[in-house]
Amino acid sequence: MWRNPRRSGVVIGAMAVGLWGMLFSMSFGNGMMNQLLDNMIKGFLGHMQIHNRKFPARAEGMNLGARITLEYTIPDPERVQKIISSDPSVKAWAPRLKVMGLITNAEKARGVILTGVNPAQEAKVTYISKSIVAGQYLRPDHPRDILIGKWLADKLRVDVGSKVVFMTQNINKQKAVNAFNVVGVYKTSSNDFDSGLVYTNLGALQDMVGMNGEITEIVMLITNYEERLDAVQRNLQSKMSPDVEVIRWMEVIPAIYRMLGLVDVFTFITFVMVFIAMAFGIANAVLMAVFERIRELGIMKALGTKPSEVFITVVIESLSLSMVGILVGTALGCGTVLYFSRYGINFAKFSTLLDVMAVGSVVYLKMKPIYILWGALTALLTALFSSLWPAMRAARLLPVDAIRHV
Amino acid sequence: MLLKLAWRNIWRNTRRTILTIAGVAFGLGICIYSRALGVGFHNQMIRDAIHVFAGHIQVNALHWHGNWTMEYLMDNPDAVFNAIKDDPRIIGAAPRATVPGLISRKLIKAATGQESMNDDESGEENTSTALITGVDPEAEKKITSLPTKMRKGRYISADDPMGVAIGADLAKTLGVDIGDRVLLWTQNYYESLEAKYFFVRGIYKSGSFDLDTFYVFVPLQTVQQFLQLDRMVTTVTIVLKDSEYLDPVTNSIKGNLDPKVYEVLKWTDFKPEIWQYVVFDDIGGYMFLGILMIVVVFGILNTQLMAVFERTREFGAMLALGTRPSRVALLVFIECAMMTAVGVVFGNLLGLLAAYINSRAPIDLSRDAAAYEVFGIDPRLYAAVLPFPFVICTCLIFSIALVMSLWPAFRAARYKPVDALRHV
Amino acid sequence: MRRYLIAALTLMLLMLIPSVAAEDRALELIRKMDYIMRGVESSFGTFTMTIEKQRWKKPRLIKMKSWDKRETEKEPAKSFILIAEPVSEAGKAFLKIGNEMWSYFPDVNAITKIPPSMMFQDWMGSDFTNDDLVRESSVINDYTHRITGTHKEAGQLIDVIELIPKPEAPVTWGKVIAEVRDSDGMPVRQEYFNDKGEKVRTMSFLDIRQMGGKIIPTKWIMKPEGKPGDQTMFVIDSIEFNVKINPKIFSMAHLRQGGM
Repeated sequence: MWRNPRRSGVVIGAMAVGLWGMLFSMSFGNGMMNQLLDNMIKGFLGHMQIHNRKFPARAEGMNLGARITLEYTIPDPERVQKIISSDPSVKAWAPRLKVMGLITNAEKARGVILTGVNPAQEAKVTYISKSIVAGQYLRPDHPRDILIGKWLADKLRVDVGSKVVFMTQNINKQKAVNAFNVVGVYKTSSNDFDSGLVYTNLGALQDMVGMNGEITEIVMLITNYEERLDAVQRNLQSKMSPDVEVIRWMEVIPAIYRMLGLVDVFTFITFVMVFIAMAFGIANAVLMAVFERIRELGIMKALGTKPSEVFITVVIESLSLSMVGILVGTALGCGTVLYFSRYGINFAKFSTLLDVMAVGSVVYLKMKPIYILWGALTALLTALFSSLWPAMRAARLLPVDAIRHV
Repeated sequence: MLLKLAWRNIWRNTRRTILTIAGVAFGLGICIYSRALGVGFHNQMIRDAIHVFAGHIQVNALHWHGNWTMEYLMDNPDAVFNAIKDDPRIIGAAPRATVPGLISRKLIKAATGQESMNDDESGEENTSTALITGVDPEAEKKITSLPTKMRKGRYISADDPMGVAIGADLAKTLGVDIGDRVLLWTQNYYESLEAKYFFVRGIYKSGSFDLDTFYVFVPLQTVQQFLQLDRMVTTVTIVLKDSEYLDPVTNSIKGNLDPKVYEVLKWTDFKPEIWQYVVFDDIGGYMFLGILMIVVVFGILNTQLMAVFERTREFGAMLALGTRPSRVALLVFIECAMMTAVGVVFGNLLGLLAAYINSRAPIDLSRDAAAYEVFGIDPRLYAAVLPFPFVICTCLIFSIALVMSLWPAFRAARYKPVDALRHV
Repeated sequence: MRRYLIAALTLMLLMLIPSVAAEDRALELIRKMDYIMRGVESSFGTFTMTIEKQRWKKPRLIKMKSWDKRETEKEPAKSFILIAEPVSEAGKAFLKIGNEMWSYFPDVNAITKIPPSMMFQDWMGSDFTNDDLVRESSVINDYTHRITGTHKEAGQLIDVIELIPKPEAPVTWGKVIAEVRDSDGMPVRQEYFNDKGEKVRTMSFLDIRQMGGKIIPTKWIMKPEGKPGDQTMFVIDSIEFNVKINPKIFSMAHLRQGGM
């Protein structure tokens, strides 16, 4: 096999490049979609949420705040908080109270959802504290601080320091009005988000609507959520009283979950296409490699090697080459994917529009280990099948013809 | 002379040549198909959005788009109709009056004919934001496909002035069905509150989130009367025979209308999210194409190199016999070029075949139909048979392959005849 | 020694008095103004609102009747408005109790609660907002007051008072400048500014007459800034103050009857 490094090199090269292509393209597509999801999770969803069982927590379609109501707050919140604080699977958690209302200034008014949060805890669960583009994040002992999105700030023509008045209804359907000062402006990659969601301190909101100590939801981040989500949910739910509900992110906005399913389909189509391209490359290389050695094989036969042995030799050699090729290809693929997983590919030059798409203009690749398996397996099988025909030809050669081959 | 030699050369080793050509052909075919599929998918998305409701071009009063208030109305749609008169590139135009408002459920208990008790103090339970849109049913039927997407009941009609059509998601949120009474709230021309009862005649499902959740369609005349609009409208929507007419027709209309009064927008302006998605997906698509090309070209290069090495003795002989190295190089180059050319031809045919089949018979992903419904994506993927993917892929691969052929050509030329002849 | 101390203290007090007095004076004037505008237990009146907008062909006249009862310890504020003209709006009635509002439209022939989001819209298409009519904020309690100058107008001495909303007050204005008559606190003009210091609108008070036992401005004109040709004029045709209003007026039944 190593006698002719060039020949082997060609086969290995074909496999390596093919595998690289496969891993890279699949990781790219997967990365894009994962980013979308991650932005949403870290933007406001969390991995899991806790509500009063009667609270309408499940969104319809892509609607973020299907029904926000002050009825049905979490019963016995201290007990719930104790349970999750002591559970090692809960990486971080944040309590919230949400109301719908009108935010107004001298000239304009807009309907928004005001979320009362604990700034420190919220910062550990969502990205909002890292998305500040003007001013600063909420300060815990400043009840009049309010954080609004850039889109809303532009529409209302307010800046950091502006005063706004927020109106909503309290639990008795009476009007609750409060003055706030814009302490900061945030920007996410979703305009819908920026225009509709406004943040203030939990305590301030509770005071305003006369619901001290009450919260409507808890958002949590779970360690190793990809694998353990179901288990953690069952575990936590079992510790809660029956009127408290623990749900996973995909139950809150099922649409996103279904979208992920779509991604897998598209990734598969990508896989098939790259496979076809790769297969030809490999088949070509293997076929040529073997046929090039016809003389050599002919001589072997002339020297008494049995046909079956020739056959096996050829196949095994092809397989060994493939192995090396797979190793190199996988290494190359993983290497580049890992690099771009960290540093991402910046598309900002090509389109400013990406920013609005909730993915952001830098795409980070993301690989699933299963891609390596698919890639390696298909590459191997291709090499195997490609070597069968020439192997048979070689086996059935008449030594004379072989030697005469030029 | 050299050409004939090259040609004969390649066919001397049929198997090798076929393999090389096949490599090029399939590689190119896949590249073409991947772009065809991508473009097909986009076209479908665009078609769905444009033809279901949005239209290609929208004309409204200056500043209306983005503000949607009573301040910016068109006195009447006549000027627009005149501006597009007899343009064969246009399928049709429809006047619309869209106002933001609220819709809430008002039930009549059929048996007793009494209103349900808690309607007097109806809270926000069954009230939803609505985009009340007055349309001319006949004009809409001519240019858009929403009227055909009724899931229950029927579309609105001019002789049923109090009948409305709403989306399935809105119907679900409000808890209404065909025949139910709803109350529409909005502001009239003078910006005072107006409210009126209507009856649900039809429920549609378009797949578009906005259409299904917020739009309420009412006969245009009813809206104009009830809001004291006279003949005023907010927009005139125009659908073209083919999207390639988008720019020319837009410019033609702009030329016929006073820019201080009217604004002419293309769908890329008023439905930017679709355009953004297309661009986004295209980027992904080109990324993928790039990767594919690397794989394919590498394969081609591989085989060309191998071929050259295999024929070392042959080249050695030629050189020994006095052929100039440059001619050897040229020969090799021409051989590669020929094989590539043949491969390219077949590649195009393959790509064409794949795209054509896929344009007739879609890739059916309906198993996960529910996911698609949310986004309004048709689960069947069609490829587009358009020259663009063919041309671009062919040119790229051909040129890259040619450039790649230079390497083996040079290698061939640089053999020392003695070593070459001794090669096994 | 003690005498010096007393003298010094007295001097200091005397120096303080003018500024305190000035503030007091501003507050006093504002109190008077507030009393003129709002200081009644109840009222019943007929009004004509004329709205002009540049884009309309002619001004729009709306005539209405209104019963108002101020908030008491036991009950929230209540008001009932019935529209008489123009024909297209005639018969519409609005009932407001506390922070909730219901409407009756003749076409609809039923009572509907007005959703909060609709309540913030400009009232009846005028340049007044619901908030103006409802007066969430208190001009006395929610602002600090300062006289910034005086001038003469039509032979009368007018004080110019600057009102700055307190940070915690639910007021969106950055600043309000009220001009009142020095003699009796009668409002002459009010200018409203946003928090960037830009003027947003001006309200003028004219036709000061006696009506219903009080001397009040009977014509109010609201002009938004930057919109030439737009204005809203509110005229009090007749009004009675502190009348006893049958509580049944502020009821659903009354609303359902279309105010009849």
